[in-house]
Amino acid sequence: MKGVWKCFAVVAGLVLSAAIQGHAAQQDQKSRARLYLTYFKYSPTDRYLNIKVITRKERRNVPVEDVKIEFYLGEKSSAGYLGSIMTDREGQGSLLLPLSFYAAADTLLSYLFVATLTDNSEYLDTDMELEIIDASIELHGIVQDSQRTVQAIVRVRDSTLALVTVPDVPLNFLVERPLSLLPISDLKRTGDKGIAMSQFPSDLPGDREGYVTVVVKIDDHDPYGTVLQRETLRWGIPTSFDDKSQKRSLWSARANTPIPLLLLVNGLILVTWGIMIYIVRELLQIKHI
Amino acid sequence: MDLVDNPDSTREVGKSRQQIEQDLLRHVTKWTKNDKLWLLFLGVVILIGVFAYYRQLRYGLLVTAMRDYTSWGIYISNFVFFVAISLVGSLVSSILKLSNATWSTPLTRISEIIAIAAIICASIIIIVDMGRPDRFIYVIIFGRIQSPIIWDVIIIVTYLAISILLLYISLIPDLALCRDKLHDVPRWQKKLYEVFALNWKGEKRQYQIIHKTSSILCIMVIPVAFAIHTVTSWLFSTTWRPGWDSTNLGPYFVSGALMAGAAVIIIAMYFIRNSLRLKEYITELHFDHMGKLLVLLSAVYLYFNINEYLGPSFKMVGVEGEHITELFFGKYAYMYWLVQIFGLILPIVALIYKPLRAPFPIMVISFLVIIGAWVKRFLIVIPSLQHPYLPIQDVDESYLHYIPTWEEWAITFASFAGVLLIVTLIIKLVPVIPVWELTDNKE
Amino acid sequence: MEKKERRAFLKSGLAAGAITLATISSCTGPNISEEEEELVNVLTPDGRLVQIPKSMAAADSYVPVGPKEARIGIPNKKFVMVVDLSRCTNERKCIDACDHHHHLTPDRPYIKVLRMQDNEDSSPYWMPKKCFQCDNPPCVKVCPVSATYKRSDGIVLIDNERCIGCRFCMSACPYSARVFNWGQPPESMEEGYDEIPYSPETSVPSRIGTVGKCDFCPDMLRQDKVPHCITACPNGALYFGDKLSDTVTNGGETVRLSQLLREKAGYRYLEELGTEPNVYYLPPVNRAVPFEETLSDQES
Ligand code: SF4
Repeated sequence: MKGVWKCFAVVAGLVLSAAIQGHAAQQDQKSRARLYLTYFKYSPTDRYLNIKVITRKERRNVPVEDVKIEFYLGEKSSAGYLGSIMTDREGQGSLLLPLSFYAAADTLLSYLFVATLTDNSEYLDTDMELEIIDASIELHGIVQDSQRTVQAIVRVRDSTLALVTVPDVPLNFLVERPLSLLPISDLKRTGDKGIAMSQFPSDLPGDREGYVTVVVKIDDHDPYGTVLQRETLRWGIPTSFDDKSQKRSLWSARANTPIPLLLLVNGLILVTWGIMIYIVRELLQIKHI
Repeated sequence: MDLVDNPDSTREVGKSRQQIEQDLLRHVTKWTKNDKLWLLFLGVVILIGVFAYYRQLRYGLLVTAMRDYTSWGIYISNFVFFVAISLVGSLVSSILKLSNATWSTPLTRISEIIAIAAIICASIIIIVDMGRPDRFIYVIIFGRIQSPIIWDVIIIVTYLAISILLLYISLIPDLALCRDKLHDVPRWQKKLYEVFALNWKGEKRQYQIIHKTSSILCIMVIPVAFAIHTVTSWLFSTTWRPGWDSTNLGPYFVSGALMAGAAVIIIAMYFIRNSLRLKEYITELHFDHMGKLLVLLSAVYLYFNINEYLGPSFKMVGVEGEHITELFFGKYAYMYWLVQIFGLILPIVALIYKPLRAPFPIMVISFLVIIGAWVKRFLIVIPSLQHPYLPIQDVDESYLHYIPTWEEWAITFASFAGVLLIVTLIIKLVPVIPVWELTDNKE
Repeated sequence: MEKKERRAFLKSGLAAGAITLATISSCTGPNISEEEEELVNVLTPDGRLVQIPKSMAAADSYVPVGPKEARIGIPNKKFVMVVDLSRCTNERKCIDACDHHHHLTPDRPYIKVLRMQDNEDSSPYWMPKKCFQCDNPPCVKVCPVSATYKRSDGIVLIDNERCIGCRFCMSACPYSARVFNWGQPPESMEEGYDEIPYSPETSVPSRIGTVGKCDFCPDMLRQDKVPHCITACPNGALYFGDKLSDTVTNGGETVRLSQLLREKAGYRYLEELGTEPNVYYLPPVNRAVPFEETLSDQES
């Protein structure tokens, strides 16, 4: 039974802490929270809905932490239910679209997503809708006269669900870096044939073998949302990693002590202590005379 | 210099062998009331220090006045001071001996005892300075030989071992003497003499061994003694702090240490001579010689001092200039000039006059030298830390200056008491003047 | 929304959801076991201290690596920071973020924003100062026990379970980057603080009698995120990145490191000491906002 009590305490604690946090903002009436829903297509089979929840407190926008947000496709019904998340400290959360979405996706011209905040003790019920048209990007690396160019083609489905190219879509050309994406050109727009191009810099470091991942991105677009397409090309300059920490130096670990220092110090120790041991042995001789 | 061989030096002890033995063993057996009071006093000082250290263990180094900028305080300067003092052992028992100054014979044991006591207390004080004394063993388990601290640990242990050997070798015949002559001593003490006298019978071959080993050690102790202080100076000169970032620091430290060592020996001579009634053995002549030696060593130290300050004060570069200004005219100026005048110029000037080399005046002057030497080390360690390259901003008031707390003083005084206690206890156990060297000289 | 951000998003969202779910289901679910599960304190990526069942800890929230693994750098990376002095207006948001995530009290900041003036006639400027993570680090050279060490990715870290508190590294550092825990760290009063498993990569928890300093937040880097101070700066004055891939980002814009340093005449502070810092400064020229004396909020 102890376990149950402990769980109860934990839940009570959670509820309590949530209650205390909200306390200052409202006494008896619930406050209004605002939802921001965005769609993110990382790859055709890897799509997310991101949510950010904020509220106004003392004339400032503050994130809403630990509220439950439910997501639906089409209408708010159990048939369209996609899943739910709890917002984090920044008032954000992210939902990986479930398999049920993909089952329906190919038959729809556009997706209507709904995010809802309901049954919350502090905030009024609210929801946000987001209509997305599915866009896809095709990416090619072209080498011509030693000039490297990245080419992207954007397509959407027309009313017959067939794929057609679209002009005038803003596109970012980037490369993947360890902590962020690095732009390799200014913002481009697709032309009449749905094509946009960007030159690839000649001096960009890649990995050990020179591979770089090029990313073409439609950024927070209405009605496409955020769409990415990536391609790994061997276009970078191979970088060699020089691990100085494994070399012998004054600042390296004990295992990498410079040899001369090692010899010198140990030599001195051996000599002085050797003499001392000799002396002690001599002294012990005194006893036997 | 007539520091070198003076054949007359032992002639003043115009006594028979028996008389000498009796005189020199007297203080070993008797515990006078003064002795006990002295021990009590030292005990109290040490206990206060222990209490202060207990507080430090409990609340951390927060009880000290050290903070992020002044991150080393009087513990470290005191450590440097003790290391300096410990050089006295090699000065007298080796440098003087090798230069055939036989007059120094009665002083060898005192100086070796002081050296050992100082080095032990230096090691203790450095552990006191550690933020995590409980991890001391890590120094051995994880020690990196690239770090000057490890060099210092190695050299301190080595020097301590050599000093103990040096003291012990010259003690063997005297231990045998105690074993044979002292009858009304406690059993443990008797046993001690017996074990450590190593079955000494005064055989010729036994003497040979003693002479051989001690002359090896005499030579070996010099580089080690220089190294101990030079390595200590490297703890500072391997950094970029103004006043530390100097190629001159090693010889500067060593010369200062020899000077302080000579002063300590003079003070010790004075008190041992008076309290143990050894006037015939430690004579005015000894004071006179030591006085001359002190003049010489002070002059050498002065030379290095000038070297240390002239360059930076001429150039006055950035933080180095700030540091020099602070010392010469700023908040440390009064300390700086008092040290230079009383701890350096005065002994040179005063001790040139023979009357001032008489026991009492020279003892007073040596005291000034010692205080000067201690304050000097304060001035070496602390002001340097207060002039970093980047300005000190947005810190609590307490970070801006360094005024040692009572805990730090208590521990520092306890460490002094510790040195005196070790010296006293050893003196109460063995003759403070090498008996056999005097009596054998006569034969 | 970029890949890394999204992952982080997802992770913290998942973790938060999972924690709640786990607690609830273990209360009400059919498989209640009488045996209670051990709860552990973990530090979430955003610096919160939460108690979760042990089994959850490994599964869903990022657990910073222990002292042993922390000695090995993140492979094939060389981290650098660039500070654009022309953009710093002494907002001190980087300090706040850093203090918050490392649970520091204002007396032991890992970051300082210093008011600098190179000479009487030139204009003053604000200089955010962290640990420079030198390639020839004086502090690492002098440490007797390898409690402070340099990794392959260039980061200099401290293992405060090894540190003996000799403070030699503090004397050796020409940039006064290091702080010491002179007493019991005040934050150890926080409940559960002492039970957080120690990681040199988060520098949490601090321990009495040991040193601390800016660590470049390797726990964040391992999650492909930039250190907290970078995102906290409202002026985008702080850039962070990987030298090998020649890229730095200030959270918003991402630029080539070499280009930035070339075009804005980047320099390293006290280059003549030969410490080879991994923090670059861009001179305080062409400022968007002129220098303004701002009272430091330290007084409060
Ligand atoms: S204080 Fe700690 S980290 Fe610094 S040198 Fe000493 S042991 Fe190393």
